[in-house]
Amino acid sequence: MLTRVALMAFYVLLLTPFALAVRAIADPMRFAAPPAWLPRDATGGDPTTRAKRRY
Amino acid sequence: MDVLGISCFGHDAAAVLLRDGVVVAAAEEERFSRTTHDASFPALAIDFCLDRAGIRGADLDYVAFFEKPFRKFERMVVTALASFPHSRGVFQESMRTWFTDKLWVQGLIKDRLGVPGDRILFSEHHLSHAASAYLCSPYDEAAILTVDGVGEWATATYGIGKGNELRILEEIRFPHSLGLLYSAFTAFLGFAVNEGESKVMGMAPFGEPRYRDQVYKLVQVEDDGSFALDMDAFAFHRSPDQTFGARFERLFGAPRDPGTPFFTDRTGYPAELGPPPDDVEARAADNQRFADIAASIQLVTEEVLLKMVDHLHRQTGLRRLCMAGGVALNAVANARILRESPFEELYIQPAAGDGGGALGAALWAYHTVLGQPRRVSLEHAYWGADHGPGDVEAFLASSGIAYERPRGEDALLDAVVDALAAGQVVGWVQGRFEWGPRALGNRSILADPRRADMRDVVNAKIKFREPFHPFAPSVPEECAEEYFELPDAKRHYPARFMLYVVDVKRDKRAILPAITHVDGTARLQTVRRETNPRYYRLLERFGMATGVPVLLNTSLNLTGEPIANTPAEAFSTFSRSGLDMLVLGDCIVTKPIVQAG
Repeated sequence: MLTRVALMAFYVLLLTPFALAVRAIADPMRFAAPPAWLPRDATGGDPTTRAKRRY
Repeated sequence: MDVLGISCFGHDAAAVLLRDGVVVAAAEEERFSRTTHDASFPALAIDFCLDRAGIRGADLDYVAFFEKPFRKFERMVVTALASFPHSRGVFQESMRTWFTDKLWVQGLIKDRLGVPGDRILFSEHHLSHAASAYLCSPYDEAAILTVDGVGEWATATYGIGKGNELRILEEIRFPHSLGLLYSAFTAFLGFAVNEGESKVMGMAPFGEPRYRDQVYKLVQVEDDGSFALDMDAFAFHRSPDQTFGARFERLFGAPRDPGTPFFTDRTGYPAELGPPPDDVEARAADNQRFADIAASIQLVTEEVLLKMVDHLHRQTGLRRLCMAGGVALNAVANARILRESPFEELYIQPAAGDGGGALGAALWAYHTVLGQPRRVSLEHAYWGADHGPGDVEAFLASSGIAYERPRGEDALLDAVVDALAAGQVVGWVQGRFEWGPRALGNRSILADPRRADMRDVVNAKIKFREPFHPFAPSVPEECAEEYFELPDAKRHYPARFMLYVVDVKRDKRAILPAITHVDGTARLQTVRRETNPRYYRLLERFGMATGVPVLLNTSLNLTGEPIANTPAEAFSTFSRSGLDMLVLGDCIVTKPIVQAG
């Protein structure tokens, strides 16, 4: 339950204002980006640790 | 070591159980829940897998979920915010579903299965697709291409598989999605997204790609197959129920009304609809526009895929390709890739869509995370539930249904062949049901493909499908080359799973009118003696009796229902349709249905 509340707070109080601010100066969704194959995001940690992450 | 793979909360939830790297059971939830494309947590499919393996949830060594829920949630939130205020509806909807269920999948698995948290692994959506294609292929090294609507962020990826290692090299990210582009046209043409894509594929041969240039106004494509959508024409990123926008309609005209009958000047007005209306010519012209649009999006999809595959070949230099993702169910495009790309061999497993993510997640956990060596490839699709002779007879007896049990398999097959050759339509239930969306001879409706009227008979009496949705043929793999343009048919795994549309040989089209589509093609299934001996022998005997070892094979269900699983569901389909005969294992039920006295 605590995790849920913390996450809700994170998304509503932090992420939302942040995303709105970013959107005002950038294109976070790459709506207007030219076609391109993009490199995979770098991931840290060993394979098992990475596999246990939900993100 | 027992590893359970799970996919859910997108569409086509599924579960797969591996024991020491070998598939024990694999099934989509809809076969048990009877809800078409059921996306909910696959509790029933999991129960089936555990029963089949003779274990409890707590006995599992690992559970692998097919994607990263938090990354997917991040994409939903960022997309909603980036499209604000148009995305208010989709934002509220996603908050509701994500906070009630989807984010807490780890807790759900722990609660339902009793597996500790450190034994629950999370793959990535396209990594699961890639694993589902490569790790159950027979190849030691192969290039991998995954293309679908969207996973977490990726909508297409390519990479390399070598031994038990998977390396994804590059990706294309949401909202630029070939799968969602195709789905937007699916919705525009009046079909349900995630279900009607094969109907677009079937409608395409009735048209000419006259709208190709307009489609390319929506999608900018580079020589390496990378692409970007013009998001002003789409709505899927900001609406829970709309996929295309006003600009899309300005390019292609008004969308098709789902209830409209399909006919063109070429097909003529369907006689069963009665006298033609006054505006029949205008309606035919409108339908021709839709067929031309279907042909155009199909052509563009093939062209983009061919560019992707060429790029992948240049990057890897490999000669074998594994494909997965919903777009890999596009059997017309697959066959073009086989014919026109530099790759010599393709592998696509039967559940290439999201259901297959369960298989991929389990294989990835076992081989890539835990480092276990690969042992076997997926040679067939028969991994679902079966119902033995005892179950069948108990059902028939308890329901008071009269049936016949021929003495031995030869007598059974002879009775079925006689019925088919006499123009009857037969429901055929044998062994374990198929993994993936296709009926491959264990939960099938069978008919004689030599009869020109059989397509209409099966449509009118049983399937109630649109006239542009063709029926598929099954053929023993040794005979495939005699009837179809697929050289060296035995080595093609996708043909075993009905994943290639190829030309029917010119001199055979008149012999096989019920399975030959308007453009002379068919989505064939090659049948192997080793993996489905009874169905193989049925084809063989039908060939001996008629000179043509080919059967029309479509799934045993009525429109809008999942394919039958149990004898009771098969009988329900039989009793509510115009099927003439139902074969349940060794037992035959015919019409009129007689109550056992």
